[in-house]
Amino acid sequence: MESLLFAVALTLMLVAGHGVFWLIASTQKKVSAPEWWGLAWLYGAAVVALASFVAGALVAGAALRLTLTAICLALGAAGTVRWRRHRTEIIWPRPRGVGDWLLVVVLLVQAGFVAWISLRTILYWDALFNWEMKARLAYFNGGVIPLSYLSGAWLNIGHPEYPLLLPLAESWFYGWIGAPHQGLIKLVSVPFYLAALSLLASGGARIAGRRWSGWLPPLLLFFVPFILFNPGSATSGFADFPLAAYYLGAALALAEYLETGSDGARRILVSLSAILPWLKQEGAILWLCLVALAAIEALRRKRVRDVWLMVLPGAGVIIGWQIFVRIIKAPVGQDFMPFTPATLLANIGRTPAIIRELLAELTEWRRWGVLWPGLVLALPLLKAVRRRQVMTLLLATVLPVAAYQVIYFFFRTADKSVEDHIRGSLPRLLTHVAPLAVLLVALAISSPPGENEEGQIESRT
Amino acid sequence: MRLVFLALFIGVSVKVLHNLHLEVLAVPQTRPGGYGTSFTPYATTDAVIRELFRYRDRAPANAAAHPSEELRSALAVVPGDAEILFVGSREDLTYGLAYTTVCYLGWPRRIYELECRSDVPALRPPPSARITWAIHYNSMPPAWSPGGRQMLPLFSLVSLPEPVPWNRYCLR
Repeated sequence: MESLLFAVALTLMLVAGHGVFWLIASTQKKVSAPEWWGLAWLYGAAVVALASFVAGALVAGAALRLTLTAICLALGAAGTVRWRRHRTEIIWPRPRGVGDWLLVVVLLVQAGFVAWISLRTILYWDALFNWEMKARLAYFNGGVIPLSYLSGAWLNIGHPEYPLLLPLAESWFYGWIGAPHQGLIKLVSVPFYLAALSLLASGGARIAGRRWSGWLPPLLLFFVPFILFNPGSATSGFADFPLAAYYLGAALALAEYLETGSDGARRILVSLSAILPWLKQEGAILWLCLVALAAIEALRRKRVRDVWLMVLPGAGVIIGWQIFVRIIKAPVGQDFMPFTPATLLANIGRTPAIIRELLAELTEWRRWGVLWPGLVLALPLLKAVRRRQVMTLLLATVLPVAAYQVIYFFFRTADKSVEDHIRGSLPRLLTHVAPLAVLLVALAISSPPGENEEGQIESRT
Repeated sequence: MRLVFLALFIGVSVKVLHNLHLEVLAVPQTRPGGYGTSFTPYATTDAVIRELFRYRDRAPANAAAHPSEELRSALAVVPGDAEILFVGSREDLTYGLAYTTVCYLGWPRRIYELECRSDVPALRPPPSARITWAIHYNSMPPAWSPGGRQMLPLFSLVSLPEPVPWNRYCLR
């Protein structure tokens, strides 16, 4: 029964996400089915959490669940009407021949293995105390996280100031199941993994312009050990892999927008990047990277209005959440020193340690296999693929890593060295861009040598 | 060249995954050598408490079939608005994990941490706290305290007849 109710909650989330997707992306002439379903999940989780946060201020318990269910169904219906009206063509991936079917089977086995690992491993520390605990508290409080917890009046554990997408999405499942369930909730990781696979498949096929190029990126994601099994992995219950999935979707939309100027891609970019800070604090850095890349191009084209349209939603989420945190007087972490040039200069001596730890992590083959060295080796091979989109994806991969290194200059090293802090956090942070790196490596491998970048791609605008 | 690259990418990862011995996940962690989590409502906190047992070597890992539920039902006698002191030793590396786990399971009861060092308490509840319950983790209640009731191996619960200043717990 619990599994059935879990499936109902999941389906309603997908219905809401399907609706939001078509409300946002209906101006496109063609949409690939994997992209549709991948984004439907990402939008669904975000919209249920956001609606839960807003509606939770007014109602709780069964009334809240009823309200959210109505919102999911209404969004699904509105999106379907919009989709039918615009008659957007959906491109279904149709396996042709034994080779394609074999790859489909391998993908299914991989996804099944990820689900199995999820179910057979515990929620690690952050997953339990930073995320699931809030879902549990919300469940016991009628679907609303108690203010006594968020304000730190109860106990200052689990970082009450962290954003709430994941806890409120998990709490939605608890509401339907009728009880918190540390085992079942690990299944929520699986749709995020599937969403990443879908986006890798659709993005790979679109950028390379070849149908079979869509198979390789999702297949290769499985072969990054840290993605499978570690605190911060896709199976851990942390927010890092979901963040990576949203970031992947936003970066792919950015790459398409910068090349084609597509309105649909711009909308997907703006909406997905605005969700990033609502999922995890580092999401604000990822959002900033995307906005910076998009704004440079928009300003070059003298489209100042586009810059504002890109900045406002994400900035609204970041500022709105900070205002909320201040109003409820949530205890704010003291992990960082003031972000001033003086602090940077005072800690400039950390540079060798930061570079040393970064290089050590990038070459830690037991966590990453040959992903990062492989990305460097892939660069010459990527010349044959659409240069513009590849360059955008490469910048979207490198910029956050660089930004995270800068952040280490501001870390307060009260109880441990900066090296210890980097070792504890860098693997998780690299997860955010790992799917993008996998995509680039797969594009390099699957692109035939010497092929011109022109005339390969069917534009979907 | 590309095929070599692909083979290297997959081959190295297969080697890593092989070395992880993920097959131990197929065996439930309640059995020797097993690390597989059960598909239960308290799968994680049960695993955490069993690890505390293992680490302290004070109780066999299977001392409690459902330790989280047993802890929760033992805490049911404590009113929801009660304030509890969680007493342990600073020298105990598992104190933090035990405290956070009990807070998680003890909601909405307010549980303050008190790590007694050899000289002074490291962490202390606010002066306004009215402590009428104490949980002793891997430690015995002081001589002046009423006797406790064992909730689980390592954890005992003490009901205090009247609020007690926290600093009395750390006096040697």
